[in-house]
Amino acid sequence: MVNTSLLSCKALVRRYGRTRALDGVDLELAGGAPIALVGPNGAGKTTLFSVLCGFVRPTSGEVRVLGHRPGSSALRGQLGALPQDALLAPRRTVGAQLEDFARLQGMTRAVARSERERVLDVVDLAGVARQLPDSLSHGMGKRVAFAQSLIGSPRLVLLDEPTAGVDPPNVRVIHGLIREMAGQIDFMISSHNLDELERLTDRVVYLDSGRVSARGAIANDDSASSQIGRLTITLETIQASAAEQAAFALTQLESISACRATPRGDLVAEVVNEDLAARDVIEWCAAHNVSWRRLARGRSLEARLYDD
Amino acid sequence: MITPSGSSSHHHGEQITEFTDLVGRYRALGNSGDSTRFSPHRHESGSGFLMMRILVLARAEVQRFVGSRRGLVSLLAFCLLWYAALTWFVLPAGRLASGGAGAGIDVLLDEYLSLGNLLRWPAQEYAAWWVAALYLLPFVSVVASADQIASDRARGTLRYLILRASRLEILAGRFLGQALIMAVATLVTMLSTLALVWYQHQSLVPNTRWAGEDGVVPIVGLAALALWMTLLPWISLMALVSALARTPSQATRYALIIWIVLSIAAAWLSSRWGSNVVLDHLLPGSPVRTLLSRIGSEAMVPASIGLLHAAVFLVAAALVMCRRDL
Repeated sequence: MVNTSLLSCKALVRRYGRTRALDGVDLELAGGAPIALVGPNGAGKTTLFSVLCGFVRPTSGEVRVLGHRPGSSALRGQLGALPQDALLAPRRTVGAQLEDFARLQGMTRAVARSERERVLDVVDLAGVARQLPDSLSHGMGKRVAFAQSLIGSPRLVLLDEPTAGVDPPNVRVIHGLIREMAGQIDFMISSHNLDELERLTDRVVYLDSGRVSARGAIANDDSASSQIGRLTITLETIQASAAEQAAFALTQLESISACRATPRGDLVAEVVNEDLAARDVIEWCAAHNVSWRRLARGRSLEARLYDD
Repeated sequence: MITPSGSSSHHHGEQITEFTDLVGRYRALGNSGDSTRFSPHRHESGSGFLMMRILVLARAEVQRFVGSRRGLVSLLAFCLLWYAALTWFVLPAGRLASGGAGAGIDVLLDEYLSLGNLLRWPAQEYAAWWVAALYLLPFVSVVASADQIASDRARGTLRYLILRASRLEILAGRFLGQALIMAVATLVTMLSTLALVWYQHQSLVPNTRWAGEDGVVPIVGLAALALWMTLLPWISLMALVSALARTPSQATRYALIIWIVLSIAAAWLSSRWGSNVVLDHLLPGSPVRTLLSRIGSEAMVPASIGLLHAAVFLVAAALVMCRRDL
């Protein structure tokens, strides 16, 4: 894994009229595991993504992607992206457009054609090269868009809502590819779906009101450096009162120092020894005829970001 | 400032066996590690590489146009209009000597050409072609090239391109693609007129020779080149309009309004002050009045004013492209 500076933003501001979509973003990210870019609606995620890709220009501040200004010709072939809601031209075949992209990245016609086949093969859509984009389902369209981001084997791929509106089978394909390729390509993934991001990474940048929030640090540090172990228990019941009762009862166990029910219905227990506590929880559930569905180390990303 | 740790601290342990084949194929096809991140396939070499990229974009623009509804409508409108021009204007012009020219030739002589200018052409059909194409093709070029940028920006397609080409390269490629489309349209008008002359007279050169100063090839060929040059400012103006518009329909509305306003302004200025050098430099379309009385190489000088107009509009379009969000 290359460990050079991946992304760098200093006092980055982007205004739309009087609105400051990005309000002084400071960010320094190195290569490594995928980076999740999260935050509520209007937080500035897509604006930051657009600035990094060179789609929009910053009002002020400094931005570097792989050491270059966004939009720089030096980034061609090194930076791939899947922009949210961007569509291929409707009346040209998928293959023709991907081949053009490869040619624009400097490949000869023959190499561009084989590269087109390669990236479509990667997303398991080798047969769609002759089809028009309109003839593809939304999920297949996203996979084609993902394929275009891989043309030329870039160093960094930015994915903006890569699975929005995509059905579970296609989501699984996209997740599988990200997970497996993360060893060769650095990914930055913007998404509202915290469950999805949690399955892909624990490196989180949290944007709120156009700024990088301290919550991002909480999300990152929770399991990495905290001395307190945590268990998350998901019960079969969805009744809040039952969850609260269970949380109170679990607090009485010797291996659990504190336990509370989250608004989502999960139980989060603070423990010293996670393995010991997990065994006690399972035994307690069996003894009290309480059905549990999931037991996991640490807290969910959603809990880390929003429950404190 | 946030500096996340560089590696994952825990593993989910979930086995994604169903994806092993996909990723195996990815690796087998030449992507097995850092050494392949920088593609070995690139052949970037200065101006040659730049030209290749612009040509790729131009070819894509031609394919996009031909496959689009706008392209088909423009093509259909052009064919119908040109068929009408051939039938009602160009064909009757060839019957001038026999007195069977009809009303079209009266309009031609009254409004556009003197009899002397008409007779300077190797055949009267060429004169009628010259007049009809000078007025018709700018309209076709305005309609055809009105959506060089707007719809692709609205759809997000430009975002895929901007990751691989500069805004100026995209602008240049699209302009070149539209210029090629109008070159084909110009050639179609010329070749159909040549075919008509052949059909009428069993010869392309009833009154003159093939080559030489007054031969049909230099006269008609240079006229076609001049005709194409007068279209370039319209295409570049539409590049500017399309870069400014938010949607394709807005670009089309702007295009039609601008074409009508400039045409009326050019006609009014010409009728008030006559054709002169200052006026010719002022508006796209202004040199048309001057061009009417020119044949062959004489048309090149006023037509070259179109290059100046095209340059000005392209610079303006480039400024807009560089400043607007995609």
